Amino acid sequence: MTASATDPLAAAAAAAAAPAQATSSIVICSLPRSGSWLLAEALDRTGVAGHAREYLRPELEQRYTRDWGVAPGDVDDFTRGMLRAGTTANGVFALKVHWHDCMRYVARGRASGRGGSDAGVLRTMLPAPRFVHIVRRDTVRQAVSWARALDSDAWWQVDGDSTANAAEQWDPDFEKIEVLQELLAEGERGWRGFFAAGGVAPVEVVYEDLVAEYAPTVRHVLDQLGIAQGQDDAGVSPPKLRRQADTMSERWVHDHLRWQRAAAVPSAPAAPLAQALTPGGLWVRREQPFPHVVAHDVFRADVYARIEAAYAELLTRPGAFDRNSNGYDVFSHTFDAATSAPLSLFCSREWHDLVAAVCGVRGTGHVFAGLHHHGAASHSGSPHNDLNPGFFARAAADHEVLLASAACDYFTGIAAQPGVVPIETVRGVAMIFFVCNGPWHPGDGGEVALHRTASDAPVAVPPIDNSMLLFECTPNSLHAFMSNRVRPRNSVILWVHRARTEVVARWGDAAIVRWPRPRESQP
Amino acid sequence: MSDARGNAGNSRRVCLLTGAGGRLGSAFCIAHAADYDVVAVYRERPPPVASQLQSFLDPLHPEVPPPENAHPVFAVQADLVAPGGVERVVELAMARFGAVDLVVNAAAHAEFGSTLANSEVLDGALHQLAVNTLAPVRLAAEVARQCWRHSPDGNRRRNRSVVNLSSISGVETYAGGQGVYAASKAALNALTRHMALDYAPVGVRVNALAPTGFPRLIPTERVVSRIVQFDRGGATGQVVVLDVDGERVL
Repeated sequence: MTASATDPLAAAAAAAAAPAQATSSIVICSLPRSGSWLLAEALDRTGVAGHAREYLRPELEQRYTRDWGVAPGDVDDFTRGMLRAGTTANGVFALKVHWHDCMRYVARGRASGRGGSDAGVLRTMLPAPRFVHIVRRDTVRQAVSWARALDSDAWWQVDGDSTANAAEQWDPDFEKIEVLQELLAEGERGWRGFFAAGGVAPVEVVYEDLVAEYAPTVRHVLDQLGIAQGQDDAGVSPPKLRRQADTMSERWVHDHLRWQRAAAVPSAPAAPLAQALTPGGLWVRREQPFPHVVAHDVFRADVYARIEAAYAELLTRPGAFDRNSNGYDVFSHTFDAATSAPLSLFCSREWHDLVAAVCGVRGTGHVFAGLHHHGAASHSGSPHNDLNPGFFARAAADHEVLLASAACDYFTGIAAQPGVVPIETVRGVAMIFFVCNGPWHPGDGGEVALHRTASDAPVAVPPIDNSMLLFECTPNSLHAFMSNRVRPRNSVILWVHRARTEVVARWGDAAIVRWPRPRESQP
Repeated sequence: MSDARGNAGNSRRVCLLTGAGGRLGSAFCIAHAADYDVVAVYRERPPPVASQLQSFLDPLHPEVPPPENAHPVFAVQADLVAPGGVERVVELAMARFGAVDLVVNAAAHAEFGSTLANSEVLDGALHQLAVNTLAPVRLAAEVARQCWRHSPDGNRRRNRSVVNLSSISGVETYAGGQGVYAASKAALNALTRHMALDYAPVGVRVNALAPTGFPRLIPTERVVSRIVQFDRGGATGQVVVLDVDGERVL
């Protein structure tokens, strides 16, 4: 049976022990369909981590006010009732709350005279709160799940239910899914701002990890919260809540991704970038041997001159370039937060959005970029497609670019700092902008070879200064560096990343080319 | 019903253009892709216009197609002297547009060097003659075989013609090792006049244009305009020299 009641863990709550004095709180910071019920159930069943419920849902307030016998409209009385209901015998209270509900509660706290940051207000309302932030990497599936739950009013399934919802017909509204996805993004931005402003380092839980590694993930959360369980694996029993997604959901995820691609109408880039580009310049989209874009005279002459000067300065700066790409004949310089103008133009959100839109890719705001210098007579590379993973320390907000950083190894996803939950993306657009090469003539070499197959004669894109090659990374985007017989070849290289789920939906997980070890990066 | 190739009601003329990636061919495509359905035959690089192979985009508004994409040419990569190359090009043109109204033989190969001192020029002479002299004749003949041969009335109604791009080098003698190239163009001039006789019963006109150096001495656009003038006119068997003084019929 699917359930549309308000509390999937009602039985557990009814069986809860007599109220204890709350001495600490766990706040599960969630968004709809983020898997927070699964986490709440897991913590609940340990018996030592409170009874996390959505006590702050507005539609439940009247019921709780009545059940708890608290004064209507009195936030402090309501909080006392909530603490009595949600605290385990060891004095740990737990609450599961969505972003907007949390803000409503904080606003009521402020109305009763409290001040400070939002997290600060919460600290005055709940005893010693610690925060668990549950996110879902795949926000498309999250939005589809949300839409489906809204349409069916079936919010969860409990293990043992005999009827599945797979047979039910569902006619989804893709625009609604889009709006829900935006709401999820807004909520996510809200939580991140809440943590940042309040100096909160939440325990991060990723829904997909929770599903894949249930008991270890729950144990990790308990460890991070400093909640002792007494013995190994105690309390972490298999979940009763059942995953609701089925083949129909998957089909709609695929269809929605297709709809999104068709409906994507990117906004025009901001004025500064528009002013840097050659006025009226048209770029050429070519279909063979695989779709790519070639642009000549990309930037206005004065802008290009500044880019060239900055590149030339870095070329002469000791230690700016290193040979860090094993097996690939190139010297590299990677852009980071310290990269300044004019090269920082390539790290701007405007540039990210522009190259993503030109290639029809929905970028995640994650960028790996830098400079490549091939000394004269460098060896040709082998054809490869760049459909590689890229790991970043966190999600990027809508208007920012997140560069690969030391917080998380771009190639392996190994976090270098505690609390970092790496996000796996996949290279979506590859860019090579040619700079500092001087006049190029046929026969000089240094082109990018574009292949239909690894053995076919390639189409060669010459390294002409202020020109650029862009292409969507796909299983077929085979390309390689061609030996530069005459002179060094210099370029700015950049990858815009996309959601891994998109790539898996289109080409399957096996299409993603894992980095070899030792790691190897090629343009 | 108009002619055997089913052109009733089709007012757009189909132009089969070789050398489309070269200077003249590219200029023709840029200037006249809106006027003709162009089959743009190229050897290595396609003409810099919209085609089924490439299109333009405004980086600031990638979702809005620019006007340059309004009239894509049909780009066909081909080696006209390879076995079957000419036949394949015409088959593709017919498959795409169902007929050909104008053949512009603009593909050329120029390799200069003294016939006395430079053995490479002699080694490559047959290739140069094959591209510059024989390929135009063979291409026109193949179009005639696949499209024109059985519909002289339709051909006349459509004012169908062939324009061979020759050179003033085939008329005058210049220093600088142009011997083989000049011979190939002189032969093309002669062949043009004979083709005009051969094609007259089929109702197809054949002319040649022998320009001086462009764009160095005359604008490329002038050569392009004269091709269109040949297409729209009624002349046949003419070899017209274009130079800085104007034009003259040989």
